[in-house]
Amino acid sequence: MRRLATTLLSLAAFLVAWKLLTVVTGTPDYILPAPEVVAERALRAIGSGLLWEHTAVTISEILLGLAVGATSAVAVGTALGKSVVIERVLSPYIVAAQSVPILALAPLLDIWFGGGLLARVLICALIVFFPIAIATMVGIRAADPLLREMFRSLGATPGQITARLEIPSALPVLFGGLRVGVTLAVIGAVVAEWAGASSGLGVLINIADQGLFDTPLMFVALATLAVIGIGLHGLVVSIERRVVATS
Amino acid sequence: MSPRRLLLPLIALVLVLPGCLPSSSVSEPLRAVKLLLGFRPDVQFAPFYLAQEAGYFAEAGLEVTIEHSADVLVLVADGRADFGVADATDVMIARTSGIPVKYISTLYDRFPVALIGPAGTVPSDPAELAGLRIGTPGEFGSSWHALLALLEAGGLTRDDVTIRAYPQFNQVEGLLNGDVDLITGFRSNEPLRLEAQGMSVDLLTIDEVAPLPGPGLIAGDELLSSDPALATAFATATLRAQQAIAADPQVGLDAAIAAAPAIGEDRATALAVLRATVELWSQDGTIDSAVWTSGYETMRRLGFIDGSVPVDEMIDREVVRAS
Amino acid sequence: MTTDTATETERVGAPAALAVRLERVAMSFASAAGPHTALEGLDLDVPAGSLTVVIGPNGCGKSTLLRVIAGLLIPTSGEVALGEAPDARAPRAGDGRVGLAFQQPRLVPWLSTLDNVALPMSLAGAPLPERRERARVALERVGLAEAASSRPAHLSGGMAQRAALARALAGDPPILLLDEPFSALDALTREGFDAELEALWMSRRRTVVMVTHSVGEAVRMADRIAVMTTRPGSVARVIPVDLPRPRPTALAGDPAAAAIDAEVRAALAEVQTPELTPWLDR
Repeated sequence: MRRLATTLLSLAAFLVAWKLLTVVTGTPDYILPAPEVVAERALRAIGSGLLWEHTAVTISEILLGLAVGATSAVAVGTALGKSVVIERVLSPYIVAAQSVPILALAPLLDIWFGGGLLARVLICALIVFFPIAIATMVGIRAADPLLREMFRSLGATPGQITARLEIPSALPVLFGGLRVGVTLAVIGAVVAEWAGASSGLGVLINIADQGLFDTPLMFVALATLAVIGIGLHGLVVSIERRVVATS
Repeated sequence: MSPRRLLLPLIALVLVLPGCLPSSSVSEPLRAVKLLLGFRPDVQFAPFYLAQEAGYFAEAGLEVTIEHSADVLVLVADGRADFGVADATDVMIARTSGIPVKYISTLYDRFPVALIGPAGTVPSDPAELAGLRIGTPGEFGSSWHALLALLEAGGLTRDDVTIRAYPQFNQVEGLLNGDVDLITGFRSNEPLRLEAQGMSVDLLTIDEVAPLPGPGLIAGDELLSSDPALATAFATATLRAQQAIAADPQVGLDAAIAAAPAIGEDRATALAVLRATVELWSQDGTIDSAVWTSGYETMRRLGFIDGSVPVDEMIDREVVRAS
Repeated sequence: MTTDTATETERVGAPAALAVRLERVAMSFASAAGPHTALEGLDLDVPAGSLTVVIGPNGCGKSTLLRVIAGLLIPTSGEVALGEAPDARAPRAGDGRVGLAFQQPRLVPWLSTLDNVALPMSLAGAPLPERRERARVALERVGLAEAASSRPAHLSGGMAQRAALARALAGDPPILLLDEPFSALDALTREGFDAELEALWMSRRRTVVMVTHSVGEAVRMADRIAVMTTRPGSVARVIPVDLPRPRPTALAGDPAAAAIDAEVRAALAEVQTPELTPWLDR
């Protein structure tokens, strides 16, 4: 209850500061709209169905991108964590792929994969991949060697050690990677849309900014993306609380 | 006399002398002016580069700084830049939304955007566009407006064609890949790039079929009410540069390369683009009422504007008339 | 289905204790600095049901010796056998013949104490109700019944080590190996644990091999004390301890105990131990 109160209080403070900024600087709504202007625009966009039409597309890209990206990242991260040889072979490519800005790669991927939902899911998955894979690798290696020896002394098979020691040991770090990955998925979906999509919140930002000169609508799209990110992050945190033992 | 003793008088002379000479250049300081152009330096902006380099702006009393931005209309309206280049159809939409900006001078008499496709496959009748796949950056900008106007002229709507979005403005690749049958593009630019890639192309232009006014100079309401002479000076100097380039495009190319060396990486293509662009330019900057009125009505029918702001509020004819 | 603490559920035909035999055992490891020989020419006979304490200078290989008996390490040469001929076999980790407790409790942090004690049976595939029940019994035996549902983080050092002991004993192994199990505890707690361990062992005489740094603890606990040499380790001497059981906690006044204590110290001095400081190590 106290957490909710602090959140609401800080949100109210943020809105007041925002409003004060627009009043003090006298910026017009088409440059920096005041919060109530954005709120009014949001209500209109919700009522007309415009906002949901684009939000649904982006949410599906995010969820599918996370599904593909996170599962492949955990698998690759586990392999990297367990085998130093695999790490040495694969990590230059993984790091190189991560270092190339996705903004530059995305249009290429969009064309190679036919420019539909598949392409955007892959771009999103690619952005999400790295932090989760590295977190998994570090987490797998974080398994306490003293515990590992204890498991071995009990005759545990390698499969048992992975399932009952390595993966549970990895969970705290893994969830850290998931928190980062989930917020990156939102960015990934928008980047993917900017590479080649006709609907989605990223597209809505473009249309509002470049086509309609409707800055309040652009802010509505941005705020919606923020809400999605916050929601997903909170979901990961609540799952983490249930799954990861606080020890 | 030792050299040292001469030093002080010599220094004094050097400092004082220039002030005693009659001034040969403009005696008043130049007015600092900021011009906003879209996205990134391009040879099509040659008139501005030339006007600055050849001194046309200076002779008009202006020192022009050029910057690039994706938000030209909004920044000019707010006074953060003095002038910009924008599409007429975008001005219509912005003005209807209450953004205080006006179109002051025509840069392009012929609408620069056209539908482009492989030679022999491009219909001359817009009605024949039905069922085709068309690549365009997205649902914004003059390309989008022109496309919908063209479809309307052929009795079609967007649902009669398949539209593929290229938000990175790389629709040329889609045409080369065969992912789309036609693309929207700049008449003087994309066709040359496609020819260079080995594809001969045909165009479907809108001027005869679905006329819309082309890009021009814009300025904010505040500047136009407080200092209209500045706007006239700027527009006039720009026109001078355009005319100079029309007479000798090489001059424009050189000025553009001097301002943005990257343009010089393919001089031949850049020159060809510039020559083709010159064909589209306005001769005197005047604003064509007929095209504006019919374009305004088309935009209204298409639903881009609701007609609440009349067309006359979107234009300032005095700027060019005063020159 | 209750069991009391005095008698265990006995596996049919399975002995309560097994002998341990090491013959000319050598153990070498590859390391970055070249081969590292921890044990060489080590002979040791541990009679079934006895409590043998292994003591020696730092780095003599005591812990390596224990791991060889546990089946965690395969000796480079020599023979290790558990049990009497013709049933004597080499050790194999997890086959239930050996229970092992380390210096640290090494409990799994995300499992309850009960599930920790049940872990060996769980890994072996025993069904849930059965292994939980046996774990509960084991916890009762070490006096930790109320801590069954607690997490290891909420246990004191002593309680955690008890739980580790319960885990080692849960499968009723005929051999119990203890690697300095109480050295991390304070002196008083340690004395108490030594007494409890002795009592547990006296109620069911499995073979116990215990490593320690403390001469006092060795004399207090052992039937026989094996004194090891410095690295590479072998057994220098085996000193019998014929004191009556159960032994009082404070053996200080007892002349027989003092004599054995002196003998052990002399043997250690012979293998050149400059000082006996338990926690400076390896």
